[in-house]
Amino acid sequence: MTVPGGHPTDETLRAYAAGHARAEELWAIEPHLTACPACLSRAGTHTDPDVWDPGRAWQALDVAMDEPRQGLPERLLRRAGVPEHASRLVAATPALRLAWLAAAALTLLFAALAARLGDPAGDPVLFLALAPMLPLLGVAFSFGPRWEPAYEMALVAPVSGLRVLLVRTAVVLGTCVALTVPVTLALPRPGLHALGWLVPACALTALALTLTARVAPALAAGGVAAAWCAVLLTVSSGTVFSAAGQTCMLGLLLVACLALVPLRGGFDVLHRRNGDLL
Amino acid sequence: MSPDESVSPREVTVHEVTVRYRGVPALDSVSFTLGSGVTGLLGPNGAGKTTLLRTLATALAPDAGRIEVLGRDPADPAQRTGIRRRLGFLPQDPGLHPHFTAFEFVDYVAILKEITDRRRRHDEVRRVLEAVGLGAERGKRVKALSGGMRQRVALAAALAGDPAFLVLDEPTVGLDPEQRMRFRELVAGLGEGRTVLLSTHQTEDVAALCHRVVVLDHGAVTFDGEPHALAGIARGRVWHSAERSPGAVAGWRTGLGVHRNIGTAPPGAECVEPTVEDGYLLLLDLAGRGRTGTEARA
Repeated sequence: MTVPGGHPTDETLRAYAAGHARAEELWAIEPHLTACPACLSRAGTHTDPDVWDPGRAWQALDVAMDEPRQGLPERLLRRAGVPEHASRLVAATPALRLAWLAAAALTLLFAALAARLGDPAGDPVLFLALAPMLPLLGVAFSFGPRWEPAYEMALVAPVSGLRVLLVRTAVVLGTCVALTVPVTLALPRPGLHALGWLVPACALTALALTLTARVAPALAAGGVAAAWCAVLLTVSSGTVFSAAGQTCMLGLLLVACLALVPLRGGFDVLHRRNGDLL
Repeated sequence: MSPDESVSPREVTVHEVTVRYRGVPALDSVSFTLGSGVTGLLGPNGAGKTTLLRTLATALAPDAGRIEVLGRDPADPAQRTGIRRRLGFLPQDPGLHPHFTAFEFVDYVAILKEITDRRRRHDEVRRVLEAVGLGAERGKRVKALSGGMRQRVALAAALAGDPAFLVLDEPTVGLDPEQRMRFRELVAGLGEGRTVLLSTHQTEDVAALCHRVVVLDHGAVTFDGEPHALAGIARGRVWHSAERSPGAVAGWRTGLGVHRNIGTAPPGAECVEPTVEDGYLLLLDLAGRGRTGTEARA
């Protein structure tokens, strides 16, 4: 658009005259036109005198200013082709806030560094154990009465709670994977072995999601995380992250996904437990 | 909206509905029917109002009984979604995302209400924000708005999509008198062509807004009728006197310096016209006596 400092391009002036200029263009063009008769005259050449209505541009500005601000995850989703209304659903996801993501990235980085400073030939057990739990926390903080301020309003909306949770969980899982993969490069032995966390991450996330049909998201995620820790403490890490262990995790993932189908109604009403609403 | 949805009934029927918490009934075999217009739901704290509203808003499934909302059964998932497409729910404590602007929050709720086309949705958001008097504030963040404004943002979100059935749970709590008056004006307009259920502690709201009132006490309906009929319960039992009557169900000193007594007349008292509040207080007292099995004093 080449403003301020210079003059707006013909394309920008045409959009302005047609009332299609974006908000930032309008802010730049309007003061320039009041001070530059040449550009004002050029703007006039792009207008239909019968239709020209300066108020229309301001109306367009008014509408443009209503446009919701898009965070990074939302912008990435739009670029990936996700519809605007679906990507808006992630805008209210607490687990996608910068502070949470920064904490997750730092946790992984420290685990990777610990592995590097420890036995370089051994398995990065701490890293492999921690990485699947991060998206799990994402599930806990994605939906539910504690983390969704407008939970009751959202619950009785026609878009099902499961759909909202699925969209948010998928984005949290994707974000965690995107954070974790680069950190694996910091491991002593990067490579396929260092990606042993990926299938458990998906399986644990799906299991927590399924349990959310019956209990509060935080309880579901906490329970699954505790069970994961118990497995790691009782079974050797070599077994858990071996091909057999990965196959078991894949099976768990499938079972959890299949169980979601009959349980999906549980996401659409308030849970009652011990007299309290969850 | 499909053509059959536009002509579907506006009636809401509650038939012997029971909801229990820890085995204790919060609603005990409640039955009534709602039609077009604003119906007030009165009751003391713990009477079961919020449970009833959550149940009617399809957020809670009853343990027993049957509900039909706008001709649909909420127990059936497909019909429940149909109800939700025509429902506006303002919960008692409507949480708003503090970092959203008023516009963004209502836009978010509108997406949850399946208004997917962006232009149509944004037009609808502007319309409902204008309707609640927040057109000029739509770009402000929720955390920067006053309590009354936040309540109106939540109401705007409930109104998005032009619902046929509106459930409002104590919308005037925390509002100053001027805000309450504006809210009344707004809700009065909403009752035209809609079924509105308004839960409140404010008997003035009921008298000013509602064509009908249901009183809930200890999970049971103790009154269902017109507000003037509720006031009529206290007819001949409201007195102005110089002193508070010791036998009165309720009594207080008014701003005019006289005591308003409900129940037994003190010596030299003047019988006055009852209000909805008088009838309501007397009704609660009578219901309480009925529960404890004591004889009515009056």
